[in-house]
Amino acid sequence: MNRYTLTYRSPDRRPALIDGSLLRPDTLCTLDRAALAGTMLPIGRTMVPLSELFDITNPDSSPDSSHPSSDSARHASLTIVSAPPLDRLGANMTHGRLIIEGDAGDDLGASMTGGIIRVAGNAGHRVGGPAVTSRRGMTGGEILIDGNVGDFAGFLMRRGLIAIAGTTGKSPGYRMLAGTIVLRSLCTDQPGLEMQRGTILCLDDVRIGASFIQGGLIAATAMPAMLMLIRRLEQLEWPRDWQRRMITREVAGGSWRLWSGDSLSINKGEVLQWQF
Amino acid sequence: MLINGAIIDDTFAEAFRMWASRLIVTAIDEHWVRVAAAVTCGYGTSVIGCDAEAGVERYLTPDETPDGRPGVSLLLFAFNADGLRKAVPNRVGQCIMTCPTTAVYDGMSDIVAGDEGARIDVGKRLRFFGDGHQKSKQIVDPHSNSARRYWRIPVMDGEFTCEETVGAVKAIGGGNILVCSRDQRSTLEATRRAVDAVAPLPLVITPFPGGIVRSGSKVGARYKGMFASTNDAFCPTLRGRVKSDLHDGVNCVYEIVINGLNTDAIAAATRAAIQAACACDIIAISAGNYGGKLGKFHFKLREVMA
Repeated sequence: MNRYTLTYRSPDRRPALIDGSLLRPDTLCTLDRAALAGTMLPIGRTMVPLSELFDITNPDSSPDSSHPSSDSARHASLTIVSAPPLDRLGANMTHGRLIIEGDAGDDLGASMTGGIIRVAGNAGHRVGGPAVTSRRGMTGGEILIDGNVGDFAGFLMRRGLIAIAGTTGKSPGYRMLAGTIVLRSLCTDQPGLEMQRGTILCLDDVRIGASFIQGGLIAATAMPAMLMLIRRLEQLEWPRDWQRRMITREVAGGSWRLWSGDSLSINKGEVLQWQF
Repeated sequence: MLINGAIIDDTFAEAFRMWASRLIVTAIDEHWVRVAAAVTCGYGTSVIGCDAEAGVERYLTPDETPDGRPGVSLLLFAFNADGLRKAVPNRVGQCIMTCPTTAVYDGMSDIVAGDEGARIDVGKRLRFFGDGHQKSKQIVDPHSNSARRYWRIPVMDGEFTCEETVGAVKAIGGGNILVCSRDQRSTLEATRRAVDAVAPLPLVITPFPGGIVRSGSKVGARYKGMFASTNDAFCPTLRGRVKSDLHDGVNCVYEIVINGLNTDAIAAATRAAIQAACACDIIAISAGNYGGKLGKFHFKLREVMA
């Protein structure tokens, strides 16, 4: 029993108060259905069982699958449908797949270390940023967003991949330590401000901060690691709108305009804008 | 046993334990893939005198490589994992990193260090060439769903991308056949066809020049310090002076050495080579048999062809 779908059914509750950090595939998908239904979720000052907020379905349900093994959790998949944009979804998750058929709130995938988060809609501020009490953002895993995001996506991220198909708020990659952010759409707010290391790939137009130094035009084939990243996104079928997908062959035919920065920090990061 | 009139000697090819790594090398186009493959596999014929035995397993289409560029799968063999720890980073550093537009990836990413496998540091060592400007990038492997680390070393045409470590496994070296015929030209023609028949097979290489050895060796020598010397029993010019294993009418012998990742792969390659050679006008097929002194893997020709 390692795949669950949770369909939200409580429009009267105050969704802004629901803490989504417990909605993680790596922990919930190891539970049997009864235990999952009884999992208590905090809403403001109260705790309510998960089954009060969500209808639970399991596409794999069978008598044999009622006792999940820890190994099966490696392939855990949790889908959340029709929920309001909950904060801290996928925080600290280590593996598995979290699919959000809708919007996510703030701090999506905070301090996650592995697995994949896929958001069909929009996400809030600090995607992949630090969890409460942590000074580091995500240190592994992949966050794929088909819509727009709020401010400071990738704030303090250390490792991993964030791919955003829509628009971004203030400085995506702000103070990032390392890792990779891919921006599919126009980015007007100076990505990577105060970044230390890491890579921000811009597949559309971008407004670069003044503290970034232009490093020339590099053939895409001269940076095979970037081709691998695009290929990985191609394999993950991101974004869902195939007309907006960048296929490896197409990217390989172009070039990267390179900026190094942030020179106000240690200047070991890079912003690459694809040119064709 | 006769195949198309050619005698299949009642003997066996004697092979021995080796360790192997597989490198996936990509480049901007097929020309540079072939250049990189040729240079990396150069001076990679026999561990008698080379640090590794190397060859092309097969060429890869862009769809089969990690970065979507044309590529090649190379197999490198050494006596043990420590031998690969020296040979692989040296060859990657001197032959691939120096070659325009190339990148190197692990072709055995599922191998973990242990009794049956090892991890060889490649990018982990070569990164220091970047003199502090190197960067690493972790990218999730879709097959294992785990992140693999790649080093990006700045070079004058962009970046040299190299996987941090590559896998190594126990393998087998020294599978072989001897193609025996009347003269140099006809024997060479038959042996080339045999090598061509082995080329598309997976998990094996034929590491010698064009896949063919003319200086087949036996174990030991009369001189101190030599642990291999000419295979005098198959030298036509020594007939009458040493105990010869040549059939009547044989005046030329070429050897195909086959290294592989397992016994089944070598047996399949041996079978394909014999069938192709016997389709030509040859006298006999034999094999390098050193009386059990060389290795524990014995490929009996008649069983392989049965």
